[in-house]
Amino acid sequence: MTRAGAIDDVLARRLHTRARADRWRLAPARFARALAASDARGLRPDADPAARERYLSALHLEDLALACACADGHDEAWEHLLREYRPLLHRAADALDPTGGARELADALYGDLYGTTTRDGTRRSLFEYFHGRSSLATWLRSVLAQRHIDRLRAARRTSPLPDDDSSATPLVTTADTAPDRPRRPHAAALARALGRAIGDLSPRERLRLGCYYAQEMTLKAIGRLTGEHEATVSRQLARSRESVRAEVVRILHTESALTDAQIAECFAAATADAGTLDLTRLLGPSAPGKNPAADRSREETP
Amino acid sequence: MNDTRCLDAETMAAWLDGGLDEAARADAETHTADCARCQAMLAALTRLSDAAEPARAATPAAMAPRPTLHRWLIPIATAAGIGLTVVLLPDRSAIPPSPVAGDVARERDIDLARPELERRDTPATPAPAATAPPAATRVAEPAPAAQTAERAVMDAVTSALVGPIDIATPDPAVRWRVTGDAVERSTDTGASWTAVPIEAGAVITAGSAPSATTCWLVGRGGTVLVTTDARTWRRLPFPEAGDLVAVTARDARTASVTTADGRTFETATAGETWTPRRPLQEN
Repeated sequence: MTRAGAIDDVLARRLHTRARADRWRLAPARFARALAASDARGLRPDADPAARERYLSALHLEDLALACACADGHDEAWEHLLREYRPLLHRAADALDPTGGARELADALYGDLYGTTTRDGTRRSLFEYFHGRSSLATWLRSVLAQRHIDRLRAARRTSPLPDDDSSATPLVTTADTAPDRPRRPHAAALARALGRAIGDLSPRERLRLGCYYAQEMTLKAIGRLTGEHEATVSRQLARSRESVRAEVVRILHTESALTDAQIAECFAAATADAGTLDLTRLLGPSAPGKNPAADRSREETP
Repeated sequence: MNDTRCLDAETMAAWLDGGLDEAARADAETHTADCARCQAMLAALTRLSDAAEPARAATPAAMAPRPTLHRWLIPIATAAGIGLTVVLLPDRSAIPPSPVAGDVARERDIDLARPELERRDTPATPAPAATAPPAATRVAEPAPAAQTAERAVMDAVTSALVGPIDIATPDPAVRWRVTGDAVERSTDTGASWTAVPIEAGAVITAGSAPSATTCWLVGRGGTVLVTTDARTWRRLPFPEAGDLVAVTARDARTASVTTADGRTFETATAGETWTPRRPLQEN
């Protein structure tokens, strides 16, 4: 709301019409406030009027109007929301937890969507955080998924840690202490080289690799994130893989002084038994060889 | 955008739906490239969308087993092997066409980056043309795919998101980690850990350690904890009761904290006063 009033009245009224906000008897001024809030959230302050109009016109306007009406407690809007989105939320909840455990989260969401009273006595609806940059359906799924994860994290607090706490397991057993060193020669050197090679990639390259190999996302889904065609994602993945491979070989050659035969043996051993190598960690911020100072998400990322 | 913060639900949803501008998307990519939590959240959301649309749920990734490092290493090992010793895997061009019909086949056909092993892993799969049902049949039978998608979502959420919080300090030997409600500190690069208990019931979501002995933790319900002696925690007042998802501390008195809805508050007085900062996309 920081720039409320910055939206041109004519534009705001046009968007109000496009949003069919009259369905919910949403006043143009109220919708203009929501547009201004979205503008403040998603647009640079120095954006020119044309960019502002493009941005606002591209919003999910009908969803934004519905969210505004629900935030204001409009009965018909709520009926519409429950009719159209409750099945969607239940499907998402069932996908998160097939035992039905997430359904209560989905149902509990409505309370927060309606709003809880804050310390100053005003009611604050969760819908205030919806800015129309996505569809309402995607936003609801996103909120539900985050709550589910929060609950899993909370539940974990009360669960005993496994005996072989994997979080305490180093990325790779060091060469000096590895009990199975003969079986996986140079595993530490390989892990370091992989970590460095991956760390040298650009953020987008690491994102593609992480999404594809660690998160098992489809090319299409990755392309949706990066704005690339899936064929481009495929090509770029292959290129990144080749780059990583070449760098790993170079590092093992030049810094670990391994021979071709040793490198081949090293790869073969890792391929046959990855052991303590963990792709998620290799692709994540704690990979060996990556500069901790550059791992900015490390301290923030559970 | 400051890419040290995990993405909030609204930003993730906007990213998925193409609602971020180029700069915001680049910032989101930069953060997510190194953030397993955000990656996994995006993957889970993608699959939630797929699960919500049965026809799309039958994608190869949704049905395939989770890739392991083993699989991922194969192409590296193989390619290296080609240059160094012998050809261990068949040439890509020699791989027979994808066995699956319809959209699935199209995706597989261009899926050149998927390790060859995946195809080697399934040599026993019956010949596709003879056995694979037509795409229309798959769409008409969404249940198995949906179930697999659900399992995939559960995998993504449970195994990737509920991991320990690893907090680095300027001293490479000193680290913190948070696993559930257990907060621990290591002074020997993680070889051994000492518990530094926090108050019961606190759910920690992020931490930041500006020195070897000072650490800030934030969590649900406006929880902000700080220690300056690496032994005891002090709860700091926070102006809101909402969930906190990120913290970046400069020293024992100065830090910025991000709420789950993407707002940032700063303190330079060890939490005595907090000042809201402009939202992410406004910078």
